[in-house]
Amino acid sequence: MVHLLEQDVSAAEDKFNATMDKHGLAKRKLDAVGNRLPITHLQLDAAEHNSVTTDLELLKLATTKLELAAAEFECVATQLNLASTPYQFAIDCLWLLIHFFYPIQQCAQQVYHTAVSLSPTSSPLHGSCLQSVTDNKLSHVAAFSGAPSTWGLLLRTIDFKPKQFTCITTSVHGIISACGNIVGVYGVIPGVLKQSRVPQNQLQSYNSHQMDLFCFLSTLPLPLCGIYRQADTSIPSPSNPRSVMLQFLQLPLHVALLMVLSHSGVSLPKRGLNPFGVETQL
Amino acid sequence: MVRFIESAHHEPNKCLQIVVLETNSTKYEGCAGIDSLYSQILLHAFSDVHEPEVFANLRNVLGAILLAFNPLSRKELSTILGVSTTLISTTLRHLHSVVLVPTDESKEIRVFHKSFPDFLQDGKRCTNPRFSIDPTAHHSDMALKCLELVKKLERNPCSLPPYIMNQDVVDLSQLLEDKIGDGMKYACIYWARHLRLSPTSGHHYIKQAICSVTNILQNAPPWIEVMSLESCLEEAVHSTQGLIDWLTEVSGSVYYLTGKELVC
Repeated sequence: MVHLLEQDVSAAEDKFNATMDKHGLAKRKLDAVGNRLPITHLQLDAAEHNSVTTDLELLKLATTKLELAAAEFECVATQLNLASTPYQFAIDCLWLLIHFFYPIQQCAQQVYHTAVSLSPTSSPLHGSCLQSVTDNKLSHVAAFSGAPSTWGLLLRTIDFKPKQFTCITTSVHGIISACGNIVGVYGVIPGVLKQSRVPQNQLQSYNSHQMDLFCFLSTLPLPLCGIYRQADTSIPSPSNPRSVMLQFLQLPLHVALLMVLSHSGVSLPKRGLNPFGVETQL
Repeated sequence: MVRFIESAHHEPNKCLQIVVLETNSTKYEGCAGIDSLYSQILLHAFSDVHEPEVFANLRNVLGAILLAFNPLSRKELSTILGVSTTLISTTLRHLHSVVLVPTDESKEIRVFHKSFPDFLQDGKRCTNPRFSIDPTAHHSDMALKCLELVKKLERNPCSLPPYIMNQDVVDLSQLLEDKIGDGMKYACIYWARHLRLSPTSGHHYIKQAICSVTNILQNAPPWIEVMSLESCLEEAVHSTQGLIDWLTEVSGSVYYLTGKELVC
């Protein structure tokens, strides 16, 4: 009986020890997991948090910058949208320069003596400068009864010579006209004759810093004139697909004109196009 | 190359070594050889310089020389850039093999060969940011500096009697040189051309430029007066037209960013 009891106690002790061992192992494992997991999670959370915070800060910074830029642009927009914007002043200045070109060109102070005083009443420059002109007695014009309210349409009157005006075309460098048998190039702004030639049998060329102009008597049934784009490296021809002929001018019969905007190494083409796009031999 | 070797500021043997040791310069024609030669000249000229301000000055001065529409003298550059002629001379002292700087400060500074500005203005060729020149940025700088000068113009700067014809003014060219100066003349003629080649976006620049332009336009007569005296009135028309084009482009840029249509 005692022996049996001793056996039971021993078995119970073994079981208890085994359980304790298992418990110790489990506890150690749990501690290990417990130690590791929360830290890792915390670290991950912190890293993620930092990253999100950085992104958020960057985003906030970018938003602030954008808002500032938008505010600045709105400021510029307001500046431009004001009653007298720089744009309107610039347009007005252009009108004033073109209308009073001759007097100001000959006498610089005419800009005060006449231009500002005689400008239309709606002109922003008239508004901003007239007071100063009057105060400093720079103009004899004290009041301009019946002053126009806006700038007129007529900018320049060109006195074409000779008077037998036949045709005209414009280019960025001038107004080209054919009057009688004379080809002339007039300046766009002053409206004065820059160059003129009477076409002869021989090819004539005009050179200025801005353009080359070729002129000759043609035996073609149709006159020829072409104005070419500045960027072209050679005179346009059907064989040169890159080039574009911009404008034709119907000149008087037997007067042919080729105008080439300046570039070096220009050579006259063997072929050309007549005003109707038909290829012809020059 | 000869000017570089016979430099008064560096040992000729050393300069010759730099040229000879540069393999590209003897093997290839075109950009490769020239680019490495220019790079070597610039690096050698500023080998003992570390201050960023020196390089900023260099870019400022070289940019103005290379992008000016007319060759400028030291005197004119000094007026336009607002720096002393001595600083310009010091900045260009080591570049005499590529830039001609006359001893007379009223004579134009010239670049010996067009390949040098081409090299400096091409970011792919001149990769050193200390030397490379961004044309758009420098045009905008020049535009602002010219505008600042033009803003200073006052009525009747030559103190001419009223109603006098330009052709009747005795020794007008000398009077203009004394009272207006070539730097101011350059600013009056070319501010709009520089502005036209400036960026039409970038709010800080646009704001600054528009402010200056508005100031000038609100009091345009002194500028028109000087342009007439300098016989450049036609250029004034072109400048105004160019300004209108620039403002139109700027208004497009503002609309793009703010969604507000401008009354232009």
